[in-house]
Amino acid sequence: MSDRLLKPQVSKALGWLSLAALIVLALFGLWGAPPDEVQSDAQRLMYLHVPAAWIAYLAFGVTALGSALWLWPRTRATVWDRVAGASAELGVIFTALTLVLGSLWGRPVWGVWWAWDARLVTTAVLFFLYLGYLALRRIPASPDARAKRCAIAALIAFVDVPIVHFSVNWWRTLHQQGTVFNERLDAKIHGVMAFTLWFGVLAFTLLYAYLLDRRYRLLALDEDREEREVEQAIAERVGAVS
Amino acid sequence: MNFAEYVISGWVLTAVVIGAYWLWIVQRTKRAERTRDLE
Amino acid sequence: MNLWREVRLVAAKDLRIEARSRVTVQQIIPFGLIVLLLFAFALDPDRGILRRVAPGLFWVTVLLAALLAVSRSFAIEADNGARDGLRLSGLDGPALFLGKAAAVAIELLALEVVLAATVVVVYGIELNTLVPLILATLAATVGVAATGTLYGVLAAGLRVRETLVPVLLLPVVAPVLLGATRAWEAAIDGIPSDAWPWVALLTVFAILFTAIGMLAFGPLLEEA
Repeated sequence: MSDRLLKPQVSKALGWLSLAALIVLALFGLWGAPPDEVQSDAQRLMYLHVPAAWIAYLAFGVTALGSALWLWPRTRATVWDRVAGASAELGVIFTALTLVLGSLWGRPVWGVWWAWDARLVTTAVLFFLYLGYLALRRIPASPDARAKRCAIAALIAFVDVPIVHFSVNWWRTLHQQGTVFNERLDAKIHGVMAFTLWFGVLAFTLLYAYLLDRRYRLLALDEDREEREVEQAIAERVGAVS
Repeated sequence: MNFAEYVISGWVLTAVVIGAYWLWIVQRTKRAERTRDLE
Repeated sequence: MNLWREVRLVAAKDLRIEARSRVTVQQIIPFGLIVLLLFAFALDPDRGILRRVAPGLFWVTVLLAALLAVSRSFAIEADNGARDGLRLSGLDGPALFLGKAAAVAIELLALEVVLAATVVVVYGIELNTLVPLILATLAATVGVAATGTLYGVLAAGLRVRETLVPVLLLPVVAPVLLGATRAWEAAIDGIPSDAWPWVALLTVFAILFTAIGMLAFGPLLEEA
């Protein structure tokens, strides 16, 4: 069945589970976990920023995987193209969220809204790669033609991201800037803080899976309706001629 | 803005964005299902 | 026919069209020069900024001009069923890709020569240590031409092609901009040997995207 990814009961359960997990995350993140020695309460944004970044890249990987599976003739199926499309939309939202949360975190702690660090820059480039992919998904073309173009674009982007990261990283380390920045980002955390962070990653992953299924369903409904409309239009033309 | 204000803004923003997106999906899905069932 | 003859055939076709229509010479190169001029308006030449950022401005200008060159490369296939002609020609995907990309690369190189001369004269920089400079430029140009041709065929036949290709292409070639600028800066103003790692990066990028283009061009042309 290419109209949904999860069974209805599973989807609903996942939805409730995600909500519960997010509430627990909020409790820990805003209250349960202690403030950081250096960053005090600003640290609490990390519990959202890091999970959001994880999802941004996970969604990107899923889009690439879906694209690859669709392109490979033996595994070609509508479901993969739709997974790629649905995941991309989730990805762009979480990427934007990652960037904004990063700014909100960086401003009180380092005094800057932005820094030219490899991870931030790569995430910004990822955002634009997503936007391009989503623009490509809206072109007027047959589902197969559009799927092929989107799939190839997604895979090109997938190959490009590590190159971007590597080159920016190289560039910034050569300039010997961002070391302090990175130290803070990689600061070792333990105990409740570490638990909260990992719990955040889990909660967001559950949320992603749930939203992916729901977005997929909507995409399937919309595309099926489009196909019916095209067939109807063709039938009307044929009927009018004969 | 002190630290707490940044933190609250961030968490509220996240909740609003995710909530709004979820709501959008749900509403559009209901509408699409209605259109499909009418045919 | 072997691959290289096919490539030369396709490249020669595109370059012949260019020779007759002179779009690169009369439109794209002037565009590049105008952009360099605009940068001078934007960045007060008397404050010495222009000299320091010259490599970056040069490569941004090249990228913007590349958008035009790629757009042109596929615009010439849009009329008179030329794309169908390509498909029916019996030439295969890799050859078509390499031929079109080579033509774009040659046009970009011509542009770069003109822009480089302008930057030397007008921005006041000196092109020291030519070897890393030239190698970086070649690798960067091949990378941009290959990636541009790839996205050009991906968007071929779409009405939104002209606004879509920039949005798709520019993020992907960001590493080329980065590498080429750093290589130029090292060669001109810094330690020339620092340029070599960037040349390596640019070369890897060029090879990778040429390979991808060779694989993907045929299938994409079928859909266009």
